[in-house]
Amino acid sequence: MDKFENILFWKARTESPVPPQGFETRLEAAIASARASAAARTDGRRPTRRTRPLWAALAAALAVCLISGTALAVSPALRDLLWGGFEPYAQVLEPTEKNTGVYDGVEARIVSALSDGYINRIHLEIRDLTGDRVRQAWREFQETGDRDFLRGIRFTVRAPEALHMAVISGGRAPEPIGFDEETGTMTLEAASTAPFPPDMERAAYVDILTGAFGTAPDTDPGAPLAPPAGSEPLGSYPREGWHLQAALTSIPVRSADVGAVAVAPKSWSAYRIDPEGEFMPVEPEDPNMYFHTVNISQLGVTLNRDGDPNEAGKYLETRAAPDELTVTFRDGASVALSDGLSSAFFAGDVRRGSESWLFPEPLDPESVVSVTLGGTVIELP
Amino acid sequence: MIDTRDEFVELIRANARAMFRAARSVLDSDAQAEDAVGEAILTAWQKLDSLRDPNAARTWLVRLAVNKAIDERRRTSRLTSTEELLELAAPERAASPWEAVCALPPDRRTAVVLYYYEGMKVREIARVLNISVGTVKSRLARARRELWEMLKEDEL
Repeated sequence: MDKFENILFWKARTESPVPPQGFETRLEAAIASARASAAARTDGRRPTRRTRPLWAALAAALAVCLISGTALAVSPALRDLLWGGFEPYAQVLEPTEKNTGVYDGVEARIVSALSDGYINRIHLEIRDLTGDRVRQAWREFQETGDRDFLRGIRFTVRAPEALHMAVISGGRAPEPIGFDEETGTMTLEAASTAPFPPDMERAAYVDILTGAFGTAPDTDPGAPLAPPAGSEPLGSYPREGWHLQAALTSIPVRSADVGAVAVAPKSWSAYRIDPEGEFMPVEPEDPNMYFHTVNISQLGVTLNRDGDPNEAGKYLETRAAPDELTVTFRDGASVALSDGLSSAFFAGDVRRGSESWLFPEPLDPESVVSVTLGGTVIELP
Repeated sequence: MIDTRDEFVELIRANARAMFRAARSVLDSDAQAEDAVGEAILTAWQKLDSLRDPNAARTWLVRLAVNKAIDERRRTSRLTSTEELLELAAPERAASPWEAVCALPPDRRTAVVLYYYEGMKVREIARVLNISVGTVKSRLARARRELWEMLKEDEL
């Protein structure tokens, strides 16, 4: 621990801020109020509204801004995430027939869908309209890490034009990030990448499949579900099932052309098919991956590469980028990002590949001076 | 399990200052922080049965106070006037560590208070704030640099 760290701890222990005068008296009043409220509930009386001290009444005199007409309350965790970091880009989506649905008494809604053109991140909220399953699932997750309740929920970004093209997407399954005790609402976050061309229209989809929300545990997970009563399956894809859909909100991205930076991959393999149809391993002519563009937004960092140095189509090959990307900021701070997401897009002679790493929280793209991958430092112009 | 309400009252009294510091790290006034603590005490009283481990009471109470403070901040943040924004701007130099901490942006301020003043571990802070461990570390790292800039000539 460095000297400054020691000083901060010492100062915190010896110079702790003193609450304002009268705090102890008001504390006892709050405790007494809580006792009275509990007593009123016990004997069946309607609990009296707690009297707020004068200084709180002044704050309460301010008009309260509510998100009205929403089927689900937006949880405090999500509000803090969206307004604390992504504002003004983030908008809490109004509920529609397409982004909100109910299955087996569990209501699900896409409340936010952001995209920088490479990284897509959504927030989904779920709550149990008929029981306590979501609350129980949150407690299980906190205590044991169990995500079985979310087994059949899948997030993808799709483009209608890319229906008959080859697309490889990376993604992170919906992850619980918060729970609002008052409304019983669980907030989930999911991410995906898909290197569609910039002008290709795309949308966010959340698929609800068999096994979601703990239903039908003995059936084959991934089988299509019957859509909820009153809804229509979104049939723009040759895929049955029930989907939530939302338009993606674009957020600005800083793109930097860095030439052709060679990075040694974590692993490489290539095969050619001989006349007998056997797969024969091939030695690499050039084992490196070449990145030409760095794209940074508040969602994360994406490095683009087109094709590979070996003759396209001649070999079957895979290259895995190094796991960790280090981002260095103007003030000297750095953050290490792990578990990048790979994606690729093939259409005719067009071959696009990208590697993306997600920021743990919104970070300023303009303050990034370099990224380091596999020991190679890529300076940004 | 906590056997009696009286035991619970003693727990509240023992942790009230920690709840106030945590709420104050989110909000910009002592008055708002006290109100958040009051709301948290009421909620804690109503949900006492959900506290299974008395040893976790402090983290639980601090988390309630932080959540109530965040709710309060969301209710009032959109109505911040221009004059208030000028007052909230971080000073270039701080007279004391606490003044420097109060000048940090709310998300980093809360992480610093919970880590240095409440002595919580990073994983505990992540649970209280419902964020990832990586995010807590990131906020603490950036907060340390900002505190260094504000305090390096005056205090150290």
